[in-house]
Amino acid sequence: MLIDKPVGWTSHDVVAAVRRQLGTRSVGHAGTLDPFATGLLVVLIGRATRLARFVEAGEKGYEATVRFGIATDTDDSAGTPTMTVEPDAWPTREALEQAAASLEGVQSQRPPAYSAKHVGGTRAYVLARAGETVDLAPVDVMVHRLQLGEWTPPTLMMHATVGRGTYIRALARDLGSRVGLPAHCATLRRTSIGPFSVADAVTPDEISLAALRTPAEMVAMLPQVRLDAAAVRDVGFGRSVPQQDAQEGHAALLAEDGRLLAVAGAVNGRWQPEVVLEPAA
Amino acid sequence: MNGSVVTVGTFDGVHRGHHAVLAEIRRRAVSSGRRSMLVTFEPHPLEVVNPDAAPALLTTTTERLAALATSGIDRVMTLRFDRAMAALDPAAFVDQVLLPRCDLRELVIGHDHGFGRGRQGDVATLQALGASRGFPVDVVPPVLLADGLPVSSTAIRRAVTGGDLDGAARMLGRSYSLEAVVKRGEGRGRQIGFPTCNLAIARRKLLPPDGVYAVVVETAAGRFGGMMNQGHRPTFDDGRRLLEAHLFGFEGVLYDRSVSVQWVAPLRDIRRFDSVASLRQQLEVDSHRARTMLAVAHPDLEAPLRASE
Repeated sequence: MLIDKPVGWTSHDVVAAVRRQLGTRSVGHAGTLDPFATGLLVVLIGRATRLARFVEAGEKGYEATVRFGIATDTDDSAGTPTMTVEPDAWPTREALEQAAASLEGVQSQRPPAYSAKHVGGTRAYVLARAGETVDLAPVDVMVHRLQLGEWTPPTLMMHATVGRGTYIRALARDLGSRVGLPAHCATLRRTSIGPFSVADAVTPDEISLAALRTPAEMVAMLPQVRLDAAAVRDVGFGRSVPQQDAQEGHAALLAEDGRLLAVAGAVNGRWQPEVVLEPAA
Repeated sequence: MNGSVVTVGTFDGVHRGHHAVLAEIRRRAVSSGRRSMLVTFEPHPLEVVNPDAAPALLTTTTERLAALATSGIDRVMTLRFDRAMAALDPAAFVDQVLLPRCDLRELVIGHDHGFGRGRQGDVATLQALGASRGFPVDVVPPVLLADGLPVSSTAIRRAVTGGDLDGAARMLGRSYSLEAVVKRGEGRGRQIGFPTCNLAIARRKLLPPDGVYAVVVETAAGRFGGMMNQGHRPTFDDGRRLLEAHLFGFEGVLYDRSVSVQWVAPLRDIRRFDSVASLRQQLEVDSHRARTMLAVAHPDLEAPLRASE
């Protein structure tokens, strides 16, 4: 199910709403959204919860506003200001374009202190809340595109397409430091994950069975392989099946009628099931 | 038995508000050693009094009696509602029907109740009547939803008509459903790989908007998930309005057998298909979505995810 998370809700609040509305316990989500952010949250139900890692692997699109001149401890608008600068002149659009371009591609990104990253076995935000100084090691992340929108100082709109593990809050902070100003992410809206768009999402009060998508739709980004009856049985037992032509990566293994049986990875020229949705009886 | 604790009403839908009234008369009957008794009517009074304003029904008489049969009430008395019955004022109804025929000792009514000619028998009138004839009259307050609105047959009719099946189910305490006899069809579904039961529906039964729905069907052969086409069949262009249910994993025939169909969730609107091939392709998509919904809503059904071979 695709849900448009309202501002102020935690991702878990959304999961709880789905549980309540559908009366089912087994509900999970792919890719957390912070409470201050809105937009697309992919919620997975029942056996499909195990498809989360394939959904999370998709490129994510965000619309964000960056507030220059103010840094916060969380790098977002929910935090406490730590530094305020009122410059004589705000950076030009050209300077911002240049800074944005330098943030594209593979980046070494320092995660925000208030993040779910682990530091010595503890979540970074737990340490940060306890008042400890959190030093997170930079992580390599991928920023596919960083396009600037309207620039009405001190607020900049931007559209970012990023890979797994990239913090838009950190991107806002780093955009500031490239132009020599403190900055934080004021608003954030996730517009897409892989092939899924927030335009197709429902609001929490529209959660119903009718909003459910099939497991096959949730892995629409993977190449699809249709299996014959013998291969269907093998996959049900978790056994690998031969590939038609040599392929790499992952594929969705479908029955003849198009329902999703399993997601498999390529191993030695065969499809090895990794997540089986319909185990053989 | 030592007289009856009685309630009177049409009880269309047998919803959560009705159940609160039934639970109250059962409780009183048990504690006073009396019999619990429901007095109801057939047909719906408005069909006699003002047929043009009579609503389509949430439950046919058969469905209503089936729902009441599991309520634990000692006796259900169905009175024929005709012009003579409609002409009785509340006092006459009490004196000529409830006291002699039911051995009434206590009367319990729902909060929105009115009976007798022109629904004159409101709570105050009934309490005055009861005082003069020596029986107490008590009112069961409405059952309120989370948003504070009372459960009522009218609110449920509005929800069903508007396609809000979840809302209707919350007020009913169960999914909205239909009992019907399976008729022999023309076998066209079978030809394209989706055999269906064609259902004969009662004229006055209220239906949600036309469309394709995920359903649960209870048959003599067990419970099955399925999908149901409700409406006319534009692709075959013969103008008739029909309910046709395809049951997942069911092989066999149910002709002339009675089945119960629960509406679970809407799948899509009815539309015309250019070819039987494109209809068939759409039915495959529909069946995957229906199975996905049923796997979540009714995990107890056998293998709702698997295709019928």
